Amino acid sequence: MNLAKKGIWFLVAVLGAGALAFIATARGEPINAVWLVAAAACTYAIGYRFYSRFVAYRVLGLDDKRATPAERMEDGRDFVPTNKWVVFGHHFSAIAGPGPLVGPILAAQFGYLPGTLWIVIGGVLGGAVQDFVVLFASVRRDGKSLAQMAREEVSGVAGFTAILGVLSILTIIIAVVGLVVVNALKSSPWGLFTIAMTVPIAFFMGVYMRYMRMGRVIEASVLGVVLVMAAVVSGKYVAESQSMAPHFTYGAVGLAWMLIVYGFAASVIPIWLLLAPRGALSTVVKIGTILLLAGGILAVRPAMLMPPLTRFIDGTGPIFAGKIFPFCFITIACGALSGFHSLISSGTTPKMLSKESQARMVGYGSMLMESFVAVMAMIAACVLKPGIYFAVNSPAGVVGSLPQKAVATISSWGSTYGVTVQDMSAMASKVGEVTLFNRTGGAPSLAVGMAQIFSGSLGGSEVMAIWYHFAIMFEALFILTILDAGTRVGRFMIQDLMGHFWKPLGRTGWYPGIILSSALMVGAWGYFLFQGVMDPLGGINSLWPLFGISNQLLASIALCVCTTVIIKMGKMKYSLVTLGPLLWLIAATMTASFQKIWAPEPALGFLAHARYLAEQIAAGSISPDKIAETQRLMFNDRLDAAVTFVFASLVLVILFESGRNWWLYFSGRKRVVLTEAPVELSRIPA
Amino acid sequence: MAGRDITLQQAASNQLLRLGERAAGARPKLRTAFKSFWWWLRQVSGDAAYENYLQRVGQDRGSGGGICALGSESPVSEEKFYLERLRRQHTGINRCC
Repeated sequence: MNLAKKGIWFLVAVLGAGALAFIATARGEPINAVWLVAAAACTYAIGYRFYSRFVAYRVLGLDDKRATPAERMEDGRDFVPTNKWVVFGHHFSAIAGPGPLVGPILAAQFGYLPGTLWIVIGGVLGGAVQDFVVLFASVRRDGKSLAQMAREEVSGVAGFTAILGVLSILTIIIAVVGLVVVNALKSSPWGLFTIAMTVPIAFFMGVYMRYMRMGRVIEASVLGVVLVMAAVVSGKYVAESQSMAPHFTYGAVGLAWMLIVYGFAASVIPIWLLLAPRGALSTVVKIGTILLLAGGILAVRPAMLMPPLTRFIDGTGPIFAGKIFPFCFITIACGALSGFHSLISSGTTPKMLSKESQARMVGYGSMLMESFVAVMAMIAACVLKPGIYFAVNSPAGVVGSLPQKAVATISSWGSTYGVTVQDMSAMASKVGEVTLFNRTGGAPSLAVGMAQIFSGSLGGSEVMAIWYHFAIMFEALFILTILDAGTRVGRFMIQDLMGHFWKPLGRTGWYPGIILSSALMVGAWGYFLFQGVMDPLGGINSLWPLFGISNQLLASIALCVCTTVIIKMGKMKYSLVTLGPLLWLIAATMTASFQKIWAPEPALGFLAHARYLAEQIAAGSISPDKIAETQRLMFNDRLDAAVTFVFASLVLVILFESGRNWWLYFSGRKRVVLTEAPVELSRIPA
Repeated sequence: MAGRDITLQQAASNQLLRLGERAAGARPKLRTAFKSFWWWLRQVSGDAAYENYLQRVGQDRGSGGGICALGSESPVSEEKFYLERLRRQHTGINRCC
């Protein structure tokens, strides 16, 4: 590196450190969001240039002379050497989901500081390293999946735990993202009309790509985007129409049933008709909106009205209960460190890399982009007045269902949180909704924040309602893509398991097997979705931590595999690169699990809440017609406690299995057998 | 004064000429950038998947089946290729949370 480059990197480091220091110490006046963007961008640049290079060459020893599986096993279908920018595009669009948007929005209840620091630091030192090392490990092992690597590198128990972890996380994630959609669309004819229209639009795209212009994804996506935008604009007239609005106005229960029917249908009808076109549409809208949001933040440069730290760091937050440690880290999940990414990094991506060195850009670089999306979501939440943010996100069971009661409760938290019914009515009217009170789940507040940023740079406040419903459409569209694709994958996993008991059930083309496995998968996530819908505390309080814990379970498995691989390569002195994030993750996951099960506060602990409800019934405080419902809530609390216990136990199992192996290698009692594919020299020019 | 005006006009026209030359020089670069982006978009979206497949079959035949054994089979139809590709894409986890 020459002197000029050293100078530039020194300036980047100084700017990044200065921005981080300013964010961390600023008190009083609201700071500008550009500080967060500068701090994140500089930290990512330094992390990518120096830390990922260290991991790539010192720790992993990437070698471009070695042929990758895409070259060695090229079959023109799964294994194809591909241009690195194309692999980057594939990988990023696969890992970018609703998690990094919703997680930071919810974590903003602690203020913008803790969440932003975790997103940036956790992304650079944890999430990006995990994605990169898993991708590398899979490339060196013929593109094997995480479960296969866990079985071969750690133990058979670890492999089984990985499969169980994947199925559990699929079930919980679909339920929780389904709940986010339900809360965003309830009593919103404009929102529901727009989303409902995406189904026939997807059908049209599917027919176009199958029968009219075979495989022309770009043309179909352009048509789809134009039609979706038309649906967003015309949704206003549907919502204002006396005759049409009632057909698109549903409560949470009705919407939950619609999602269940949709999930089942998407799992059984041909891929080309719904899944593929929806996936294409969702990817285009997702990337476009993320770019638009980044441009909007830079153009508007909004002030962060949320304080850096709120009073809720003590664990008394209305959106979800629990202190900053561990719940800030459990809540943000995908924006900083996501176990789910390891499934993508050990899925199709390793089969496309033409050179080992590309794993750095694709694995590490994509995660930094994802982390940056999370920072933008945090900004979108924190540009709202804190009172409005809490009025939108707090469940009726905590702040009250009547507007006057809710604003009185929220305003009583201090002058920072002051909000009036007029403020909320004005905001609801601006975004074209009847009410914004108790719209839990994160999506509506993200949409309000995004609409505020978009309308500040394009169109002014007159078009804020269009932007709000565009943002709702964008969130719901790619949440539904997770829901339909996840249900289908879950169906295959269940069929695979059932096939062990009776062969025909495992055949993916046999309709009774398809129907049964789809019903089982939909029934599993549907149960948790209903649990969230019926929960007077909004559901997010119990389901989002469950999702966070299950996601971190997968991350624990991935980091255990990564650490084992590094140790087996004879690089034990560098094992802290993955062992450090793993230990932090274990500390956060185990503390969160313990507190969610056994904390004595009913707002936090599942069992304490069940006990509290039992005492209410015993004391006669519950009216007779509500007793059955209360007993169901008690059952759900105990079920959630049991599920959390299983997740935590699986984390301990995988940690024990890995730790035992590490000790045996360290003490020389077990011979290290590296399971890498044999070295073959690459013929592809560098 | 008039001499100064002429100098200014000359300077302005020279500047315009330079800008024009630069724009003319930039046009091919812009075209190349657009072409690269379009190529990338077609690859990422899957628009070019069948073309790539046919090209690989041809290359493999040319090399006597030494690349990926695709050349030994006759190329499948575009429809079959498209449906098979979608099936493979949606059998495993291809989307994250």
